[in-house]
Amino acid sequence: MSWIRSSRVVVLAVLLALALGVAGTAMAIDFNEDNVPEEAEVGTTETVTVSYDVDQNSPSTVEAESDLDDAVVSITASGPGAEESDSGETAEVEVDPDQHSEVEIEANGDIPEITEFDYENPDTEHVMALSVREDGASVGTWEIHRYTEDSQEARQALDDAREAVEGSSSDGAQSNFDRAVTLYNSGEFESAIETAQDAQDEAESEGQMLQLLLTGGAVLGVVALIGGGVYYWRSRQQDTYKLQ
Amino acid sequence: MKLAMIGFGQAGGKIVDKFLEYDERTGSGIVRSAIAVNSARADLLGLERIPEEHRVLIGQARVKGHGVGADNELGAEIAEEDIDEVQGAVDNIPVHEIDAFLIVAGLGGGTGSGGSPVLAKHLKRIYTEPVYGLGVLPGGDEGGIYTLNAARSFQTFVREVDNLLVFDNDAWRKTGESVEGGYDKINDEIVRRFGVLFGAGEVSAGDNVAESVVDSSEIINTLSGGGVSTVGYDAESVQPQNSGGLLSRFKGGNNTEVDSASTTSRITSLVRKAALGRLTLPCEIDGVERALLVVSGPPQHLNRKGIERGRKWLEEQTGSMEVRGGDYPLNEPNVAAAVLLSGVHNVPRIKELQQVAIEAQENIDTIQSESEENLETLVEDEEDELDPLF
Repeated sequence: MSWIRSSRVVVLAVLLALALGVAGTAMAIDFNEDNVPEEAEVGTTETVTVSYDVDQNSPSTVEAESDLDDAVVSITASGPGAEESDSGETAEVEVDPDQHSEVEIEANGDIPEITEFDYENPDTEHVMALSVREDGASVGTWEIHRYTEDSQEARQALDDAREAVEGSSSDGAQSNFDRAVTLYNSGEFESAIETAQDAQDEAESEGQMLQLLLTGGAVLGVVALIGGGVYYWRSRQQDTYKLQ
Repeated sequence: MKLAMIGFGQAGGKIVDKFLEYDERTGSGIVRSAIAVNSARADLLGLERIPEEHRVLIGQARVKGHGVGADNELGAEIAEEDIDEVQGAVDNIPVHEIDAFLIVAGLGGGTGSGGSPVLAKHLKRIYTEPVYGLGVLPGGDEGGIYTLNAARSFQTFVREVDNLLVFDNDAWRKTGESVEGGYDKINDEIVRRFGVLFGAGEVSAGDNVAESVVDSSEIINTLSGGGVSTVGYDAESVQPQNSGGLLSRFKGGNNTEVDSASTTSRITSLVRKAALGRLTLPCEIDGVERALLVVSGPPQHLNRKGIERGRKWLEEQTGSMEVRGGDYPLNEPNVAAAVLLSGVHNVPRIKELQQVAIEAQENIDTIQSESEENLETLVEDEEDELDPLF
């Protein structure tokens, strides 16, 4: 390795470290999540609003975008000196700490259709509602979990079934549950609900059987105890003496 | 002593049933086999412990299972006729395992009173084992016919058995008892006495073994002279011994010591009370031919001196040198003395019974002889003017 090549590597490393340092500084924005819904039904119109107090020393460029359908993104930087704003499919505002004290970012749009369902990884059903960059580096992303009426019902059924299946040791219930998950992932919610229901019933009936057996065992134990006690008492009472 | 018991008649069946209950309850193991014989089906059905296949109904051709109605001559007749049926049940008894037969019967009734001497005669003819009788005398207030039955049966039964052990209901009846409760208590008394006596030699593994075992041969020898026997019995509760709990082990063995003087006097007092006041057939013990004394109770309460003294006392009282004795250790909080007096002669109760029986017999004869004449007086007119139809 020549000296020149190795010095280039060092320079690159230093630059990368600086870039990361800057990005690190930029990422340290403390957002207030004024209005960030956790989940929303497909086709409804939602608004996501975040804001933060400007405490940087140097001016920066803030950009925002959204994956919502027909999204309108707006950024408003306001302060005692001046107010600057921009809106549109994407928005970009220069924030000057000398003039602006607060920045509010908002995204408004319709929740888009879901392309891929995954019960185990609900993240795949999220939509990116708002993404904010400062000087080109991402400083915040807000996602909303989206659902359709059917998918929500199916997920709820699967959640209930999973709770029941985890509490039992029934293999049949587990395989039914796995099948329900596959059906959910392929978008066949009605079948998924039915299969999840079956899994839940099976797990619960096994649980009930176990409960019944335990109760029966306990009852038998108590009866045996009482019976034994009575027998012992009777045998103690009974006159087994030969002489008197 | 292992016995084959045959309950003849209602009272006999019930007493054998009680013996089985006593055996089951105390585990004494004296009844090797039990048979009930009766001419009344209902009485056989009332038994609880005697196995169904050991219940023999005799005289079906004559009385159709309804009993002989206190007619002991008829009882003897049907026993004679159906003796093979009884023998059929006796055939099931493993005779090599038994020491003796015991025929139990109430002497006042019909079936047992009449049939038991017949069976005794039959068994004696076939088997070498001794055949004993346990006869229950009716109470004096039970009526003349029963007394007459008892007196006649007693005579025959004594002659046919190797020894007749007698229990007198009169000596044990208490006023104000219900019929069933009264008989039940009397049967309990019978069973307890004879149970202790016959059970004395029956020791199983793990039991205490007596210093001086009362073996079945002792009982057989005592009864061997024949005649009539009575059993005296008395029991007293004693403080149960500490069975050796953890605490008492640390405290030492002081409390297992029993005062020897009081033990001796207790035993002699029990023997006296048993022989003088609590006999199954009250009698004068002076002149008794043979006697057997069994003292039973917790081993530490049985002392040799007491038993020796008791035996000595019996020898003095009976005037007989043939007084056997032994102990029967049992782990229970009672001490008891059982006295078997064999060959008793001076029994006022039997004389009294016979007197009443003679009177009853005369009365019956008189009434019977006058019966025809009286009926004629009633039926015929004074001048004999009326003619019968045919």
